[in-house]
Amino acid sequence: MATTTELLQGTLDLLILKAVSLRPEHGYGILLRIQQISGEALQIQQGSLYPALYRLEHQGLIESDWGESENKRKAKFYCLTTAGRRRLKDEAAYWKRFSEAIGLVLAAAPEDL
Amino acid sequence: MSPLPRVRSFLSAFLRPRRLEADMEAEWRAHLEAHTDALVAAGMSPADARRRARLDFGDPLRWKEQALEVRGVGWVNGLGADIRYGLRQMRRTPVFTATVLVTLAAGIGLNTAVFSVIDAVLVRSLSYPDPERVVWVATVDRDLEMVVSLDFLGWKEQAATFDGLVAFDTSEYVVYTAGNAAESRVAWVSEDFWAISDAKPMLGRLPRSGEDALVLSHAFFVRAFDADPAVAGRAVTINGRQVTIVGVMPPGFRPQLTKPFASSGLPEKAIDAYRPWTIRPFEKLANGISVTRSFNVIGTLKAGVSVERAEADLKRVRGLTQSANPDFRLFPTLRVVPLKEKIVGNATRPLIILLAASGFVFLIACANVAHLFLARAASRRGEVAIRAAIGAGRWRLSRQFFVESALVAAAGAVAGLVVARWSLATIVRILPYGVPRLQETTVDGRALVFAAAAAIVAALVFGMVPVWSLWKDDARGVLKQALTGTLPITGKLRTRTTLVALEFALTIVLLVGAGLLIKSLWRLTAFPEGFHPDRIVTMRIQAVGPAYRQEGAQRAHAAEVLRRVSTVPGVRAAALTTGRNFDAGLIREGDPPPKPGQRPPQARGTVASAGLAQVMGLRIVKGRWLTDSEPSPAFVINETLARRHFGDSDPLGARFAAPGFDPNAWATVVGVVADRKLQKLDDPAEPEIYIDYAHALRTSFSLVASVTIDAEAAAAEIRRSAARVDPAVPIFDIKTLEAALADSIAPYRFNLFTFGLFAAVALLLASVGIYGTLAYSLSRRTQEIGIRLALGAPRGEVVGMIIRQGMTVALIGTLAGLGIGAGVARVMSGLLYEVSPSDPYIFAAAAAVLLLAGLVASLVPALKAATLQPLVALRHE
Repeated sequence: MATTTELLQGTLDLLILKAVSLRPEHGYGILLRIQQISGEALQIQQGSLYPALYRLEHQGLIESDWGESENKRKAKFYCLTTAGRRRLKDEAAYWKRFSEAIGLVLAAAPEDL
Repeated sequence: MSPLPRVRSFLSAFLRPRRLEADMEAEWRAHLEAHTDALVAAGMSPADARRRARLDFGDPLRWKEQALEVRGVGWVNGLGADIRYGLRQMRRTPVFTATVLVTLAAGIGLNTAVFSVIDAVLVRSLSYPDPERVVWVATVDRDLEMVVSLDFLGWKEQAATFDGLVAFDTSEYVVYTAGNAAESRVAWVSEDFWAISDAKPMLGRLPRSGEDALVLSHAFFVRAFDADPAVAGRAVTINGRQVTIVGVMPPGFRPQLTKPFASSGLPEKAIDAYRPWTIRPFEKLANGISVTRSFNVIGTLKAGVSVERAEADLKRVRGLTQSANPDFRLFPTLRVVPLKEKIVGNATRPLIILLAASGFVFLIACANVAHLFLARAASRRGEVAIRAAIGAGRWRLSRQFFVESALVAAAGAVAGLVVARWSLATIVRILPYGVPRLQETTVDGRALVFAAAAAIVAALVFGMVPVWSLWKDDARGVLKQALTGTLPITGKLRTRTTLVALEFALTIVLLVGAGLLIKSLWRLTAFPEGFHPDRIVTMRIQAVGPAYRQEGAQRAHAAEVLRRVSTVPGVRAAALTTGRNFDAGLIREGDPPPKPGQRPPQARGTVASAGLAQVMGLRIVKGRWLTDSEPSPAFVINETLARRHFGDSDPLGARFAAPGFDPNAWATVVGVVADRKLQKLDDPAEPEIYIDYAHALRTSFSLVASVTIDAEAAAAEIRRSAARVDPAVPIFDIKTLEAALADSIAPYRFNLFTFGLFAAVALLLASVGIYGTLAYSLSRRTQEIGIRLALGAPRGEVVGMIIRQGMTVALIGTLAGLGIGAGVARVMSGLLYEVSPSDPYIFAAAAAVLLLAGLVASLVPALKAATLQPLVALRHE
C-alpha cells in the first residue's frame, strides 16, 4: 500500500523545496532526489512534477535559470528564494511536530490512554 | 508573501505565451533525454528507453494545461480554444459568415459614419482656444447680414465686453509665383484674428501691424509651394500686387471663418492663405466715390460675459456711432450668436434625424443577424446537448456562444470601419457642402471606440438570443430527441417572425422618410421644359494684374474670350454674365428719391451679353433682347417686374437709375422676357433685370456656353481656348450648370442621399430577413410538405401557403410601421420642401415597395417548395 501512496500536494511541495535547498537542481535531478529521499515509496508521473514546480515559482518560493547539466546538456535549474527558504523551515517544523505527534499516538500503550 | 512574483509570472505567461511554451518544451525535452540516458545506462535498448521515458513522463498536454492553470492564465487558454473553435465555425459556413459580415458591416459602418459626422459637426468644438466664447456678430437688413466699417470701428473703440473683434471676408485669387500660378481662397482678416485664433506660425512669423503680407495655410503651402521651407520671405503677386509671404501655419490651424450659407449664397472652400486687413471708416475708389466696406465679424467675449450682455453693449455703441454719423443709415437689427450655433445651427435637426435613421438600420441589421444565429443555434441543438451531457456547464456553453458572436461582431466592426471610411469619403466628395463642417469629418479614434461599442452591443443582442433559448432547453430531452432524430421542427419560429415584423416596421419608416425627401428634391430640381442644365457649361473669369488696370481692359479681355469660345466646335451659343448675383434697387426716372431708411423696389440683377437669352433659353415676350454694343445703358426686365411696376402700361422705353451702371446715367428698358425659374418651380417668380454688360460696372464675369456635345469634353476645349487669350488669367470653377444648381441645394441632396441609402439598405436587409425565415421554416417543414404533396395537395396551394406565411408577417410589420412612420414624418417636416409630411401617395408607394420586396423574397422559397419531389421530401430528415 505504501508504495503507491497518492502524493498529497503539500507533501510534494515540501519534497521539492527540500530537494532544491541543498543545491540548484534541474527537473530530472529533483525527481531523482525525491525518489531517493522517499526511498522509492512515492511514485508520481514524472511530468506532474512540472506544474508543481511552476506553481512554486509562481508563488516566488523558487526561481529558475538555464544552465548546463553534469552531462553537458542544457537544463533549467531551480533554487530556493529567501521566501522559499523560510517556507521550507516552517513546513519542516510543522511536519516534524506533526510526525512527533503521530509517533506519540502510535507509541502510546493502552494503559496510557 | 510578496505578490510581485505572481504578477510578473502571470504577465509573462499572458503576454508571451509562445515563449513560455517553448521554454517548457525545451525543459521537458532535456528531462526526457536525461531519463532515456539513465534507462540506457541501466541496460535498456535506446528505442525501448525512449518509449519508456515518454510513458513515465505522462501526457505533456495535460501538464501544459496545468502549468497554465497555476500561472493564472488557464482561462486564456480556454478562451483561445473557444476562439479557435469559433473561427473554425466561421470558416466551415462561409455563406453564413459572409451574410453576417456584410449585414454587420452595413449596420456598424453606416452608424459609425453618421457618428463621425455628428461628432465633427455638433460635438467637436470650433478650432479656437476659447471656442465657447467666440460669437458671430452681424447687422441685418432683411436678407442681408453683414457689418459695415462704421459699426465695426465704433465697437473696436468703445465696446467693453470683447477681448477681440475680427472683420473678415474671403474671396478667390490667383497667386503668382515665379513661373507658377495657383488658384487660392484668401481670407482677409483684421488684426485681432491672430490673437483670438491663437495663431503660431510653423515657419516664419505673423504679419506686423499694418503690413501687407500673406500667411499660408499648411495645405496650400504643400500644394502650391511643394512645402519648400524657403517660401517664407518670398514675394508673390496677388491681385496685381506684390505681397510677401511672411509665414506658414501648422497643419492643424483651421479656425472656422465660414461665411454663413445665406450670406454667401455659395458654399465655402477651405482657406488657403490669410491676408491682414486694415479697416478704415470710408475708402475712396479710383473713380472718386467714397464707399464704406461691409464684411463679416466674429469676436471673442471677455471671460464671464454673456451673449446678451455683449449684445446690449454693442447696441449702446451703435447708438453713439449713429449720432456721430447722422447721414449714414446703419442696418436696423443687431444679431449676436455663438459662432458654432451660427455655423451648424440649421444642421442639428437633420443630423439627429439621420442618427435615428442609422439607428434603425443598425437595429434591422442586428435583428437579421439574430435570425441567422437562431437558425444556426437550432441546427446545433443536438451538438449543444451532447456537449452539455459530457460535462460542459451552461456558463461554459454560453461563453462559447458569446465568443462566437463576439468574433463575428469584431470582424463586422472592422469591415464596418472600412464601410464608414468609404461612405464618408464618398459623401464628402460628392456633397461637400451638404452639412457645414462636413469636410472636417474623419474616421478617427473616437469613431473607432464607437464602432467597438456598436459591435459589443450587436454581439450582446444577437449572441444572447441563441444562448437564451439554450438556457431554456432541457438538455436531457433534447439529447434524446437528437439521438433518435426526432428533434422538433418548430424551433423558435415565433421569435423569428417577431423579428421580421419588427424589421418591416422599421424599414417602412425609413422608406417613408426617403420618399418624402425624394419628392422634396424633385420639387426643388424640376427643370422647365426644354432646359438642359447638363448641357450648359459655366466658368468664372477674373482678369487682374497690371495689364488690366486700365478701364475697359478687363471687359475687352472678356469680350475676346467670348469671341473665341463662340467658335469652339460643339458650342452652340456662349455669353457673359454675372449670374443672378446682386440685388438692384430700382429708382425710376421722375420718381422722388427714396427717403432715408426707405429702400427702393428691389430686383435680382444679372449682367448679360447678347448670347445669354439663347444659352439660357429666355423667351422674349415684348421688345428685344440686349446686344453687345448698346449705344446707351439698356436693360431687359422679366414679366413679374413688368407686372409689378407697370401694371398694364408699356414698360418699353421707361428709364431707371440702377446700381450696376454708372450712377449718373439712366438706363432704358428695351425688352421684357418671360419669367424663368431654374429651381423651386412652385415659388412665385422674383422680379429680375438683365443689364447690358457693355455698360455694367463689372470687372469679373462668368462665361456660360450651351454645348451640343459632352459637357466634360466641351469644357476642356473651352478652357483651352479661353486660356489662349491670356494664359495668366485664371479660369475658375468650370462646371455644368446642373452641378452649380446642385451645389446650391446641397443640404437637401445630402439628406436624401443618406436617407435614401439607409432606406435601400434597410429594404435589402428586411428582404433577406423574410427570405431567411421562410427558407428556414421550409427546410424544417420539408417532410410535412412532402406528405402534403404525396397526399395530392396541388402545388399552387403549397406556394400560396408559403407566400401567405411570409406576407402575413410583412403586412403586420408594414401596418405597424406606417403608424410609426406618420409620427416620424412629422418630425421630419423641417427637412421637406413643398411636401406634406402626411402625403398619402408617399405612404402608399413606400408600403407598395416594401410589400413587393417581401413578395419577391417569399416567392423564392415558395417556388422551391413547389418543385419538391414528394419522395425526396419524405426522406428528408
